[in-house]
Amino acid sequence: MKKYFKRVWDILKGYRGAYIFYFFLQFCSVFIMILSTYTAKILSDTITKDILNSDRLGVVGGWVVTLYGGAEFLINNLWIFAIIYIAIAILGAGFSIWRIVLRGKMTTAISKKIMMNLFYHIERLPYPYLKKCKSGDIIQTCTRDEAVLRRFVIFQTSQVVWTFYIVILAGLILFSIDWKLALVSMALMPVLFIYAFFLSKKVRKAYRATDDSEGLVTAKIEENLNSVRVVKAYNNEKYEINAFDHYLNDFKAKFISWKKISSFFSSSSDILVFGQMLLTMLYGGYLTAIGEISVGTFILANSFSTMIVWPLRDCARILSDAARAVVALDRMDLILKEPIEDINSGTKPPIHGDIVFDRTSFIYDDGDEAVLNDISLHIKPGETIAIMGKTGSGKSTLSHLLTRLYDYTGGSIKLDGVELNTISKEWLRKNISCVLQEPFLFSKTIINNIKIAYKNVSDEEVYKAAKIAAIDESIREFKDGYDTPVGENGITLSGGQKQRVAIARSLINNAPILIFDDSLSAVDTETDIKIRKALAKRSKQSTTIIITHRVATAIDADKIVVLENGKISQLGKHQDLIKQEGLYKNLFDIQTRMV
Amino acid sequence: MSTFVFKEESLPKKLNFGIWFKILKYALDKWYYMLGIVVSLIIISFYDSSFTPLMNASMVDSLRYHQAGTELIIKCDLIFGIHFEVNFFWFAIIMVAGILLRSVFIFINFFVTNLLECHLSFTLRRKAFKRVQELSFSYFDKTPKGWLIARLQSDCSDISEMVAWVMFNLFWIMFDLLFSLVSMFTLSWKLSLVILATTPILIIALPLFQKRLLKLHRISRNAYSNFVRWLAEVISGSKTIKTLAIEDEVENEAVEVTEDIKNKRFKAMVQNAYIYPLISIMSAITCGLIVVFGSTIFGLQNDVKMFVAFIGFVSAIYNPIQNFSEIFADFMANQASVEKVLQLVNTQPEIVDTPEVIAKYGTLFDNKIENFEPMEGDIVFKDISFSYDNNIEVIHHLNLHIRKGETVAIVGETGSGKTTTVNLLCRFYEPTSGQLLIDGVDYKKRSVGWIRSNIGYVQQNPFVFNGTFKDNIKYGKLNASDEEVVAAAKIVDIHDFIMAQPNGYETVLEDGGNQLSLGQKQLISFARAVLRNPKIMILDEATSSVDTETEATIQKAINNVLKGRTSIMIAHRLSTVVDADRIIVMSDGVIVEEGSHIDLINKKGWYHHLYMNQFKELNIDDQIEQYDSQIKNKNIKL
Repeated sequence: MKKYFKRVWDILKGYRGAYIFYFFLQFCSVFIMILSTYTAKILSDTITKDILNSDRLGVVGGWVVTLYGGAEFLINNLWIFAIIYIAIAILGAGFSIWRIVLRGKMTTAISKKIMMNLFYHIERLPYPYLKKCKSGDIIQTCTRDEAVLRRFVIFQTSQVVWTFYIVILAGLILFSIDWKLALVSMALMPVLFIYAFFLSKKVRKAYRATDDSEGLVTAKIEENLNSVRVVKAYNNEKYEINAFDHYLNDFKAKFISWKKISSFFSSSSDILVFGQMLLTMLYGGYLTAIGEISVGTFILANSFSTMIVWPLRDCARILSDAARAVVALDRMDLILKEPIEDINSGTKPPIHGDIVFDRTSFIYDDGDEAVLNDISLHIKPGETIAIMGKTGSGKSTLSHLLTRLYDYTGGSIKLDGVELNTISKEWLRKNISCVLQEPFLFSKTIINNIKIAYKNVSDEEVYKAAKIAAIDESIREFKDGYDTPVGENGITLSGGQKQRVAIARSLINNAPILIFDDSLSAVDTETDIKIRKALAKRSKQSTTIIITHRVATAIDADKIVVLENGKISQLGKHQDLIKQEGLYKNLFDIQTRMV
Repeated sequence: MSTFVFKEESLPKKLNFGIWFKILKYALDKWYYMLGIVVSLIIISFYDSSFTPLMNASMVDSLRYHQAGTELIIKCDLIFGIHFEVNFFWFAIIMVAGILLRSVFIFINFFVTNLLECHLSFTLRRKAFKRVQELSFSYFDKTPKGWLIARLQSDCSDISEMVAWVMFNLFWIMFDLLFSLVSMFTLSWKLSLVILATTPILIIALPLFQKRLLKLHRISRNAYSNFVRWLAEVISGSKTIKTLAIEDEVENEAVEVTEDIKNKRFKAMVQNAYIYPLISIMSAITCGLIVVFGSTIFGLQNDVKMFVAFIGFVSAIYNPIQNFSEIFADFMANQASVEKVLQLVNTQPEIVDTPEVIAKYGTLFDNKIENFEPMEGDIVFKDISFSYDNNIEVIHHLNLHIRKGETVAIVGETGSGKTTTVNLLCRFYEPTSGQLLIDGVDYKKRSVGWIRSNIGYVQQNPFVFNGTFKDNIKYGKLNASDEEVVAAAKIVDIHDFIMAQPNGYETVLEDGGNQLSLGQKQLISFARAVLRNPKIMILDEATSSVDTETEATIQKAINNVLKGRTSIMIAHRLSTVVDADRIIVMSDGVIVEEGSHIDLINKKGWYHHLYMNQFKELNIDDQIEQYDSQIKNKNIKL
């Protein structure tokens, strides 16, 4: 329990002062509300002239009457109550506005802080972790769990505190007048609280069953819409309706039993609520009748009971639901506890593009066979090398290792003489442009996508990169040219177009190392040639690694590496390799014949 | 980099009562629920707005003039001239009875309102779902799935909840107001007029205020959904973000997006800050007026009861007005949903049989199978042209005769019309002109149910329903016996796999069969088709989405499945079609080539071009494999 309070206190960091001040403002609001109710008592006492009986007025009454100008004055000037009412209301309004505005500021700022904290962390989680986890769960935590927590920390806590203030202030005043009346006016409240606390747990359980059942209805709807073709082709429309009815009936049954419990909760706790009000009225009436308290006090006791019982019932419900906030907090911590990737630390040596693999191996955390085994290879600056191999031969793993999405588990990789895993990941990734097999573009304009990593480059450089990537012309054909948005709110690009934009994006900074991870194969052969020719013409040659399954793409490379089962099986220039028996020659024969 | 584009949901300009009445009609099916709500509300309102305040006032009045030492007699003055005098004991009994009675009616009331909500959501969902089953394919082409899910799910439940509870609230407000007014006027018509004099300001201001509040809430909600969308994108693009090392940039965006939510939410929340204080000042002023008028002009300076009662009546009148403005906002907020749901429910399916056909063969939901003629499986496309909604013709004068028992493959680029051709055959669409003859008869003269009951259809993305293996296979023939299911599974060679599962055929497949590979799912859908024992088998890109290794297994199943039926295969991946009796190449809605694999490759025309292009896209393993099986082993010289 203490642990969670501490966590909430951490979350409030930066807003702790405001949070506490907010509860002070709340106290002021409650105080004024009580004062307003008390004024009704004074008004009654003034009319009945009870106000003159200072014994019955009590300490608090004495203060208030003095504050309002004294008993005699009030009796002779009843209209003064109009002024008092309005003055209290204005004061109350002032505090109320102040409080709600502060609450708005606090809620929105804390919500932002929670989201940003989570996001900062999520974004820096290592790739292997992100690859494994479900994105839906992460989004849930950032949205629903955040909302549950925010609501609890601000709204629900403040409602509990609010009720607490009323109970204390009203209780104190009643006790100061007549302790028996005070006790009777609160007699049923513990019962009400406990009853509401436990019964609302039951209601929530029934609600959850209903919610689950509704989830099944939704699932059926989705399934049906996903299978429209099958349903229609098999003429199973009637069957589908019956199946749907089945889920709907279950939902209906659960819904009704939930509502039965919740209606019972409302009506039965109403008996306690009204019972308490009646109890106060009867006992107060009795005390008034025997002349122990004034009519004004009778009215006051009645008002106070009413003021306490309703919020008390809600309060019990809120507290019985506190477990939800705990669950939300736990789920957040689950993400926040995951260690993040340190992309900054490490050396930042100048990178020219000299890569030496020396007996490099890699095996996945949970794997039992090496994906890459004993790879030794020297790639000189400015060289273009092509890597070919069957599915699962480990060719994409090479690019993962170079960008340190994964770290090699054996041997070494040296970049310009520096051990790769001592170099800062950020520095490394800024210097290695990697075009992934599955291009991913953000929902922004094309130009913003291309210069996403380097916002300050000129538009001319963007056009230049797009020309090399053979996409410039296609972009200009769009109505809005480079300012065309892509993705959800924009146009849909074809796979090849997306890939070419992604290529342009990776060319923008003239990185010393360029990796095409099976990405040139996504564009057609002619475009592929165009892009490679344009790349070769660039003034400063990058070290280029092309992972491909197309011989035509590999043919001009300075070196061709053939990977089989995580090992290099062939290495050499095209002319050499076609003379050897092996995968490369085999492929070359087939591909030249077939094209 | 502010390139977030908002699509803001706009609010309706004004209320459209017509559509609300249409929804109300569904509620009136259960008129006795409505009656229950109304009757119980009358009693509750009477208790809350008349009985309690007047009994309290009577008590106060009696106490006020009570002489200590005598028995307390409470003179109760209720509305409609009801008047009685009771002692303290009976007063308590009456009040306790009142509480118990109210509580019983509150239960009835809440429960019945919930029943009404349940009835509405059940009716709406069922109607909408049934309509979705009836609608033709063209509708699903035009309507995004997400749109339909939103209608069937959240809209239906939102509308029902809102309608049931708005009805409840409206009645409650009405009766509350009514009883408060009657009680007020019974006590003092002069003071009542003082209260009423202040209400017009609220009646005008509150709805305007609510409308603005609603708008601000919409804006902040849109900002929030923008954040969720953005978040989903960033998470799915995490690999790209990492390789580009743009964490900082993305974080700046995060700041921007969350700041946006913060500001918009704050605006909506602050708007709220002013309304309640405003009302409380208004009611304080009214209370003040009551004190001033009461104590001076109306000469009530000694009447405690009046002051207490009327200060209570101020909120009894103000609260319903405030609630009413909230209901107004509810109507505004939900009107668009109601319109959309009604639009869905009222959409008419495009493909319907003629009354004569229905009379003979029944409807989709109620086939008269006893009247179905047995099908042979001879298919003739006779001069068929077809255009989708937009009037651009996609099939031009198609003539094609597929003989009984023949296996025909249709190939072509995307958009060549091959899928449209089988869609026409399944009568998912109907030809714009020309005729489709099955066994020599225009298929429109038979029912939709007739053609579909004779078709086995396997689509590109195999669909697995939540249920057991058996359920999934039986989907092809709902009344099939277990033996038939097993036989079908054996034909497609999935029987052994199913038997190896913990519960055999009873093993439950969850989450759309997530635990199965794509190939296994496809085999299940083959088994489903085989179980039907259809005269016509259609494989619509049935192997396109599986890897080549699985393709080999499936190919074996295909050969078993096609035996003895008229079969049509559509294939993007040509490896599937090489063994077909006849390959038809389509381009731009016409047939451009016909023949066998070997003939067409040697011809070096359309087919050859398609085949080679596709070959280039294959990965290395597949290239070798395909070259061997489809070129080398068939002795084709290139």
